[in-house]
Amino acid sequence: MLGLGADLLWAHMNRLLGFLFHQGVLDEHFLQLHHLQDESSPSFVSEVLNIYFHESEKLLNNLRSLLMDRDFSDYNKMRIHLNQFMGSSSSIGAKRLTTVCLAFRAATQHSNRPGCLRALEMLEHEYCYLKNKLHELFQIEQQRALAAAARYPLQNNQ
Amino acid sequence: MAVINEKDHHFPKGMRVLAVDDDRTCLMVLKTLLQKCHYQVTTTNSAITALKLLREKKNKFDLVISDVHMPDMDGFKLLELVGLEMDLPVIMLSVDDDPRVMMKGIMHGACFYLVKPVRIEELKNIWQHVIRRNKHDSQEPEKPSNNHENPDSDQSSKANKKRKEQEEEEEEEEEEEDENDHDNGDDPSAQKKPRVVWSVDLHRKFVTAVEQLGIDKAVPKKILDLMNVEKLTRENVASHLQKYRIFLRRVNNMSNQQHSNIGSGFSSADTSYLRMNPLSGIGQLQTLNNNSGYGLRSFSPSNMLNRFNTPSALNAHGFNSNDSQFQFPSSGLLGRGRSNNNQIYLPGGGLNSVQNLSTIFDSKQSFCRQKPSSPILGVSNNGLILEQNHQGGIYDNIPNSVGSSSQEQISFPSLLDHHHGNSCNNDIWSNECNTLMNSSTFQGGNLSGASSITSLSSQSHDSFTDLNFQGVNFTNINNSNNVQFQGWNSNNNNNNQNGNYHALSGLIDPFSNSSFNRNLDFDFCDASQMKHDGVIDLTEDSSLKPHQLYKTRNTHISNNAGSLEDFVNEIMKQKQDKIKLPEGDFLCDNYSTGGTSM
Repeated sequence: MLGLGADLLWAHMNRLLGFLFHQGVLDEHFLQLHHLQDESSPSFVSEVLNIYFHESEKLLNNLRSLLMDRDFSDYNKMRIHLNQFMGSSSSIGAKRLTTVCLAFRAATQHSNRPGCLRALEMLEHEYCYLKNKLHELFQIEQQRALAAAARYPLQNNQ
Repeated sequence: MAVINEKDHHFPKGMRVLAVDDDRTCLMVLKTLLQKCHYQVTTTNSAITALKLLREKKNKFDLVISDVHMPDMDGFKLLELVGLEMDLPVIMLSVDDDPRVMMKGIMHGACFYLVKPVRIEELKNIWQHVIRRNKHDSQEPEKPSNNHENPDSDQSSKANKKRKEQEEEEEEEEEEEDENDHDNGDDPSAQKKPRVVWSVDLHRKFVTAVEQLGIDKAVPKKILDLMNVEKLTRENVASHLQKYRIFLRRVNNMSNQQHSNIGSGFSSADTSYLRMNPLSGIGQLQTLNNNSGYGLRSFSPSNMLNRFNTPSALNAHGFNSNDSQFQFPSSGLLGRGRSNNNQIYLPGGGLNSVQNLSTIFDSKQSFCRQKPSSPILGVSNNGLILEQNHQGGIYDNIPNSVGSSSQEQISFPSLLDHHHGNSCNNDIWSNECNTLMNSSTFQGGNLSGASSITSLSSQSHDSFTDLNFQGVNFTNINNSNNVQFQGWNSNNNNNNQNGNYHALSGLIDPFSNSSFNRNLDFDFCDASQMKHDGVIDLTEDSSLKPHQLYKTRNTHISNNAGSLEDFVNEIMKQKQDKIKLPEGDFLCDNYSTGGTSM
């Protein structure tokens, strides 16, 4: 039973991953992250993602507060935050998010405040979506690992 | 920098990198990527810390990678400081791909500007920047680094000799590239001379000259004189000659090996081709060529291809222009419809010389191939690409088309090999090419060349069957004299009147689905069949391999030497009856023209 569960979970995970790729939410850099994970860094992916989410929240908050500020005029500052957000998002393979960042950046270059606002909203939306999906992915992965481990306890001990 | 010396043996592994980025995510990813490349990585979030680290341990780092936009210090400023104080190579990193920013980075002294997201492939090569800088600084060539740096050191360099073997292949491929961009290692002769591109014509002249002089007596000076080309230096010729020799050697080896594998149904000629098999020589050739997918590109394109491609082409070396034999249907074998030489791609990448040729051939001409994979020549991409995929009998995996890799291997090397082996006729190249070409062209979709192949086979029958190619019969393809193939096969006499060409076609044909097979029932094209049928068998009978191939197919070709001839003759007959190649164009056309080409 457990074994079966593990397989199902595996399939579920793959489906989800495939879906995310297909939707353009993720790209090959996400896979590259996984390739970097090995025995020497067994939880590399989750660590990186944790750092990413943590940092990104901060950046998004900064962006929002900047834009919300009535006296806002410093697009440069926004660009700095945005740059960083874009850099980290692209490094982990969040393609769609990066694309929105590009639009956002263009808006800042044109000093287009409403455009920036819209872009920020979209950014936040995409970010939440990505975060949820990645969480889901991780949960499935964890369950699957558990199930697989439970399935073959003897093997694990060997 | 003395630093490099310490790591001579392992460089670039263990190269010490300092990574600076205020973005923690990126920094972590970068660090792991660098570690995956086996570098030693130190990271820091702040530029100021980075400077401190660098100042403290002056010689502890080889390379610095730094983000452009950082809160505490501008990346460009850091770049300048590092350049001034420590003279270390610095690579900029940023998500910003604005060319102006990139330009600014380079102007400020950055070695390179990477755009996020960074891929591991990009990081694998960054050690070059270190070497280059060291080289410039110290003016001493670092041996290991030099070797690393210039895997493809210029061919024309005299100092190339020691590395030529290993590098030639790569060189060939990159011949056109401007290697001068890289430091040419310690090669003193790597002066920035204008690169000589061995075009088809040039190569043809070269081969002609070599043949006239005799491969053993061909010295660069004499070749140069014979070629009578302006602006060609003795060194250019010398290096080209080296490559050519290596190519021939490889072909020789391959053909020897081929004996056992041939599975290709080619008749003697084929065998030779097959022999050439990919594994050995061809393969190399193949590697050399890669792009258009043509296998051997390099076969003396001029010769061979010419021959094949155009009806008159064959005459380059000895082939007469009567293309009757080969009539490569322009579209046919070689490139269907194209009468250019480029078509012949000799499989294999091994031959350096071939490589050269490949550049010549490089074109994407589709050799005959309509079918992407001509079995014989492995015309993968439309051309005769002799790929060398298979080790085994040529035809092992011959896919229907000639292109299959298996094919390639076969013909070419063997051809050349044989040729070389014997006292190669002048046409060596041409012969080989021709043969190959023929095959390839034949392969062309279905081996339209079948007929041609047949003729070839018949001719080469002698030669082909006998892998020891004694002479280059192929060249005669055009001439349809067997004589040429004789060289190829010592044992059999050449029946192939039609020659090589036909033989070749025959050879090829079997593999390809060319209609040529038509009567022969060869289904050479059908690789799988071949495999079962006769291709494999061929290996058994070295001399007759082609025969066998045919045999299986139910041709009347017997397994022995004689059969090939018969077979070929049959084919020829049929040919005359206007064999219809599916592809139509080439074989029939050509042949009919020549009438006798086969």
